[in-house]
Amino acid sequence: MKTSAKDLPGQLGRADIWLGQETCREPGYSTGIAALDAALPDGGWPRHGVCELSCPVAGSQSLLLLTPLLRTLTRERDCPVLLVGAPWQLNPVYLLQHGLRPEHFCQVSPASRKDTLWAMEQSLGSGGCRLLLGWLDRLTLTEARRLQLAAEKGACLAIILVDEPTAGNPLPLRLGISPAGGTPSLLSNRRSSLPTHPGQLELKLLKRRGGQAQESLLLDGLSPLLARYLPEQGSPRVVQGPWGVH
Amino acid sequence: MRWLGVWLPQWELDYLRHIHGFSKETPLVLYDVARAGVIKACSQAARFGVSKGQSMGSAAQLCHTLQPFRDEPSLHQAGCDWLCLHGYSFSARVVPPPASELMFERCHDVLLLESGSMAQLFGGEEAFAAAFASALSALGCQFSMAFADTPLAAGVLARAAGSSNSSNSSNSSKDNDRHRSKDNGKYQGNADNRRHNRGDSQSQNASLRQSKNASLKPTSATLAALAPCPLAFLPLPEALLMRLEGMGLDVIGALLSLPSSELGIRFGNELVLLLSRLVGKQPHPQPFYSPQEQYTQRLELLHEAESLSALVFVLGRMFTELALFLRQRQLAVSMLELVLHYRAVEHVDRQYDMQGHEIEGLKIEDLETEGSAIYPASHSRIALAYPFAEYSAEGLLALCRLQLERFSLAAPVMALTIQRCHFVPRSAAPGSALEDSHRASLSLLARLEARLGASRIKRLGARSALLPAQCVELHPMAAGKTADNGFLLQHIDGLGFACRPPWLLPTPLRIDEEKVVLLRGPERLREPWWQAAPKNDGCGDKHADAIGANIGVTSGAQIDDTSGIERGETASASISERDSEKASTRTGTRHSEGSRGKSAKRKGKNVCHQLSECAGGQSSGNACDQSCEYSGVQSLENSVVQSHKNSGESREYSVVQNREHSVVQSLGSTAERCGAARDYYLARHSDGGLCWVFRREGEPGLYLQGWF
Repeated sequence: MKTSAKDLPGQLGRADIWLGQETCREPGYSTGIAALDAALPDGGWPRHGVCELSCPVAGSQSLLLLTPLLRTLTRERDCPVLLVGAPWQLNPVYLLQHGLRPEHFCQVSPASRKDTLWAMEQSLGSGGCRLLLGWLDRLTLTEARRLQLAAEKGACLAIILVDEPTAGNPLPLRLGISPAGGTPSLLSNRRSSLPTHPGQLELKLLKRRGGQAQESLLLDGLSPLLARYLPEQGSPRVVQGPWGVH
Repeated sequence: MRWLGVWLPQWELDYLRHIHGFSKETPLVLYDVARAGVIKACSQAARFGVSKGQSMGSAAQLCHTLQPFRDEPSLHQAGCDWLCLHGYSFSARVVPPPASELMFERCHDVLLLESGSMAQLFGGEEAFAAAFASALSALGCQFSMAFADTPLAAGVLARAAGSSNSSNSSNSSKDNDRHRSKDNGKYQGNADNRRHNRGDSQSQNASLRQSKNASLKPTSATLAALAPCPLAFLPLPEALLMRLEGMGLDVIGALLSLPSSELGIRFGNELVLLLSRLVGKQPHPQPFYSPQEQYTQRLELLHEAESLSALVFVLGRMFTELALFLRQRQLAVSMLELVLHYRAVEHVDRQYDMQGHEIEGLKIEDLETEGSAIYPASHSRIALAYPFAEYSAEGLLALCRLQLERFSLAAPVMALTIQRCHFVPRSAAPGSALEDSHRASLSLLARLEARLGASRIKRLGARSALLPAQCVELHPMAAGKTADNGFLLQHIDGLGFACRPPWLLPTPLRIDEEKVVLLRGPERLREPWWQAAPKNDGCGDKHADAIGANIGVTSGAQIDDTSGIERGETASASISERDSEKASTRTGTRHSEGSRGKSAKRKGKNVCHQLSECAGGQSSGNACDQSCEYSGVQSLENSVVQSHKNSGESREYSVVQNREHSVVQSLGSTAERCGAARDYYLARHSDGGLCWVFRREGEPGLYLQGWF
């Protein structure tokens, strides 16, 4: 069937047809990093939907990456940010240092993986939550679909932090983080792009709606506070103990 | 005073039909256990030929689908409450039906509503009667009603209105063609009955309205209406009725025309008083229904329920009643207790104990044997929490369902009780879209809490403390937001640019030194020595705080003892205070409150001198030192204040003590010294992540405290 030129605008309005980089009608939430904003299809984090962020190792600075988003969202609305199944305790002092208020955060720690998924789906579909951070070992195809549907229904943004990415998940955005140093992650195929400075981070765009997967981005200075605190490159300032108390 | 009398010939059966959810066609009877005879039969049962006085054997043979219910005082009371609860929506003065053995007082099976004060609100007596009639027919009741000036007359006339219909219908088949068409389908449904009866009540009404106009003789029309009523409508004993009938007195009019002094001599004063109350010559005080402050609802199940899904239907009906109760009082319920009464099973106890441990957040108390003669079975109590006070039946049921999903029945359930409701005032209904979203968020949190347990969902909070892990506070969701971060912001300022990690480990973990590369540090913090208990108090108390019972919880009454998560600093302060008060052998840190504060402050300065970074930025070194000192003192003061606040809470004490054992084990022998200094370093883990580690003074090895 042929589509004439005048039918084209109507056809392009369909939800299942995307126009490359121009999918987004409303701009997303800024990531706080210009390079990343430019690379992401909505000019930032999407307004709603599920994003998979794979963090293979602990301490990969994922929350530092999300801090600008948290700041934007908690200022915009009074809805709580839900943390479902976080492996550690969120530090309120960190939040206060970065201009966030601890009372905006609700920690949900379900006993089982099933409960975690239930809590995520309920929260996403309820309409009473704007941002959900969830932790899982991996996100299967079915789970990803269900969460994505719930997130679209409740107009909620979910960022699921997984240990290992699952290829082919029907999610609008999939990212992978590898921190500096350590063993090269499976995500990066080019050894040369690995960050060397501890404050640096390699972010791989595994999938983005409206564009092809890109090469990895090298992010630096996610947290200005941490960047100032970290020593200059190559000159660690450490005074080793022990010291006695006098 | 005007009265609306409502004659409900089968109100106990109507009540049972309503709460058990029977269809309108199901035949029900009420029977006497001792005589095994039918006391009351509903109209559906009467169609099969079941009638009052029959033995239960005959009744069962006449109708196979008969549902028998035993006549009990508790049923009478529950039915009265049910009727009055619904009547209370229409009038503030409601008189419940009397017990069947009560004579000379009130008409049996008659609910009285004082209507004089309410007629104007409803727009006249007719509208008032119509509104109440529609409510009763919605409940599935059979009734007839009439207005009168005295309570007894209202009862008699209401009954006369009902009886005239039924006598018409019985006569109609014989000879009275005029009534046949009118009374067609007499027993085919309550709605039809209602129509007839209402018509009658309106005709009574019309006659009584005339009497109202002649206000000087308020009872003349009532007298006229009463005159042809049979004596059996009065609450008179059977023997007296037979004597009166033997004398040829069969209607009220005949009795009223006799001289009262003679009646008094022959039949006693009670009859004279009754008659004078009937015509309004004597006042007739009434025992008005007063709505109960506490809510208790018990429902015996017809069939044993073995699955939760069967219970949900029953609970739905119970919550509908509760919702009406709440609506009338403009209240909401924040917590209630649901009791499941089990069939008696021997092994139930053990099973519960196991479950009590398994199901977190669900309080299952020890089993008790109830005094009930019918079901000496064990029962379990489930505390249902509604963190954001519910009042709608749907909301109550939905959250109850989620909470029951974590629970498994140990034995078939025979009865349910809802009791010990904790009521709170209703909050205003949401108006704007923003409030809608707020409400959605509250309902989400309530659902999560219901399903996962209150201990598994917490709101984050912060407080000022020396050790980083002690800054964390976790509040229950129902506690609401607390936003007093004044001290804390000063504390943050004092940190300068010492970036704290976003993630903290609940318990510091020992790690190999080879696994990390230290990047920046150290930053020296000292464990709070003044909160430690002496050695002879048991190993658990030594280091509660010093290391790792780091997850704070709000102090105060909201502590959830099932959570297993308790705070560090405040409670361990209370430990030392308690100990210092009770143990006379203790030497050491017993202070008066004043000296405690002083010494803490003084020590605080010492600690804060060490807070500055040993190798930090030279340019801001001095400033940083000063601000650290300031914030350190503030935090000390703050914690001392909190320790005073919490000193008396023994519940907290026990929980904390349990917690500490695990902490001390995780640290091994390091718990020997109190108040050791810690040197914190920012480090890179060999896997690549940034972490935050510390070394305790005078000890080898590193502890992992947090992740970036």
